[in-house]
Amino acid sequence: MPAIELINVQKKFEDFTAVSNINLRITQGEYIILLGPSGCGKTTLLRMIAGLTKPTEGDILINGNSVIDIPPEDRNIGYLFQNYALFPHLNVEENIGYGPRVRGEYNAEIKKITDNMLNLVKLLDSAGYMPYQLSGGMQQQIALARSLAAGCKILFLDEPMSSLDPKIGIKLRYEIQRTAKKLKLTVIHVTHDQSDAMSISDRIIVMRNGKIAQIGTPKEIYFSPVSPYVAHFVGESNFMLAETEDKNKIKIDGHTLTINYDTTGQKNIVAAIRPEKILFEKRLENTLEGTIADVKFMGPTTNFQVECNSLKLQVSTAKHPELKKGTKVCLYMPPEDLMIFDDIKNLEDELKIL
Amino acid sequence: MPNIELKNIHKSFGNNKVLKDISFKVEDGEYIILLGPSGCGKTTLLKTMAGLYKPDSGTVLQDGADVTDKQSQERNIGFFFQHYHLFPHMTVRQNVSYGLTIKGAKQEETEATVQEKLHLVGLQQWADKMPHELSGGMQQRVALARALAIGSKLLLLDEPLNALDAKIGTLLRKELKQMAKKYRLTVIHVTPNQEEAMELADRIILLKDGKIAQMGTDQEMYQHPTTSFSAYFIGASNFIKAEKIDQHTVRYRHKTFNVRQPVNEDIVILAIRCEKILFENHEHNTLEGVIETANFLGKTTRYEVNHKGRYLQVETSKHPELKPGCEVQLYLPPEDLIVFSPQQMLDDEITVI
Repeated sequence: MPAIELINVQKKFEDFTAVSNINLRITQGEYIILLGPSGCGKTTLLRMIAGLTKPTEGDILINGNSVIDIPPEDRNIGYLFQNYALFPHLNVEENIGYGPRVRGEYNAEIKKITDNMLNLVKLLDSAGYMPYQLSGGMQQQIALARSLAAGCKILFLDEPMSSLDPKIGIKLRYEIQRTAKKLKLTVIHVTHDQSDAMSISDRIIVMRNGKIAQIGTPKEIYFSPVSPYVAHFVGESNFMLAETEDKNKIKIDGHTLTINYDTTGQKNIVAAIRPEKILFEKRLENTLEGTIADVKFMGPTTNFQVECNSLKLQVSTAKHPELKKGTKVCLYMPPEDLMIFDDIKNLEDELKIL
Repeated sequence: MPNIELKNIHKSFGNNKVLKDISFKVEDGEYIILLGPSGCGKTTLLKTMAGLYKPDSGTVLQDGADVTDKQSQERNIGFFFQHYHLFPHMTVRQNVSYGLTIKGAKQEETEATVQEKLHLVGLQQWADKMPHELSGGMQQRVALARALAIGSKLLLLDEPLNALDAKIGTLLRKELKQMAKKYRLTVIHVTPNQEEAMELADRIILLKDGKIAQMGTDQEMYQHPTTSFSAYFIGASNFIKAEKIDQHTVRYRHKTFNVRQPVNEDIVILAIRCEKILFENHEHNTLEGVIETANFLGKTTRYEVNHKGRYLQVETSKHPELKPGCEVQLYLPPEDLIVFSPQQMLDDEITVI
């Protein structure tokens, strides 16, 4: 039995369809990321499962039971939002113990729960601190501990890292993942940040315009995106318009390339390749020649912009930091790394995120 | 030609010393990133450059002239601040053209500039909307377009890409850089995001607790961090507390490590970038460990490796097959170990193993 199941869920605000026909099954203990740009419907979807917004159509099941008519406070879900929203006049321990206290637990039990939670987020030493004495990252950890103190098995996160410094946010995301796995929580986490999505999720749901663009593990999404949009939104990709020549041959910019797809019956296609998959090598096949137009040092890797006739390609590698602007290079594109998509009338529109 | 120079700037709010003796010069056409964590003083520094704050002591020179006592509006600077709101009763177009209109620019010239700046931020189709019809991120892009439209050659930007969706922020970085170079703008841009800094900056000024931790090009900062805080904040590093054996050898938990840099103290802190650690076994410079977690990041995989209860982070594009529980050897090449004195530990956030 899935922990959470959505059947044909739809949400309309007057004429505007915010979420359309979502079907989804989430397994107990899964860490799910809802990924998409602002306005894609990801927060609306989360709010429907939480009970804060009612779907226009469809059903939502938690542990096999429909919860459509159950108010949010009875759905037994923990929350963590962008603003930590700790009680400013209560110390850390009192913040975490607030829920159990309101439930009427005995003092000894409250103490046990708060110690457990503080231990879990590795902040036992901070029990007596007031929220303002803690960094933003620590406050978020305490807010997480507080939301888990109720003993919920389902946790919803809505952009919990977005008001933190990036460095602190990255640290926090791994802490959240660790905590979730330790408690075997079922998590739905909303974000617009693809690096959060890739790094900590079991499955990613990529959303666009109220629909699911793709569901899959981070590796499936990264290596086998179903559309140019997904290839563009998650990670980076070079896109090339191509004509088919033979069933596994395509022509790009006057060069014939071998691909690992059968394109029989198609005339035009869109080929894509990740910047780190292009190699500065000359091989017998799949090799283009170009000139380095720009070089950008990025720390672990260097990004190159290479111009090959009409193509402008991004290449990212750690291997050749010495290559300079103006250098002539050969680019090898391995057949297995060329992603092939159906022809699209307007590629620019397809890739539009704004 | 715009340039700006700060000499010995101090600024306090009450007892809180926010800026402590800051000096640097920004040359004509440079793209400078002021980088640092929350509370490091970077926004205060920018506001001091803009003339919105007067320093307690020190001098601000703009194009060689002392402007320390000049009001902001007398300084001919374009700026963008967080929470710097749009005029709610004006359309997007009117907001962006406001600065030009009050300067008395010709209408067709104004219109062309507005079109160009809105195109740059991807909002040309929204010109006739009111601010409340736009998302927060879109409003921020309009505010950025407004700052650019004034046409000042000196531009101060306070976290201009911050509240935006990550992907849009990354795309706008490239646009911003191209525009700055095209119009030969001198830009000072504040951010807590080190990737943004690497991508945009001609030079990075890294601030910590109101002081300059390091200043240099992205490569200098990355390859030769002069403080452990730079090694921590720019890129991702591991920090190891080790004991001196001789000039080029140290000991960490019964293991010997050769280092290239001289060791001048009994106890030193070694830093190594996550991507410099290799899964290899050598006679020295090697630690054994067990993979604790593996996180797929797309281009690379990040591993947390448990070495007898202490954790190292390793990032690599190879070995995609390593699973939690796998026993591994970690080789820390001598040339990639950076030696710091323990006095250079500048931040509580740094975990030293």
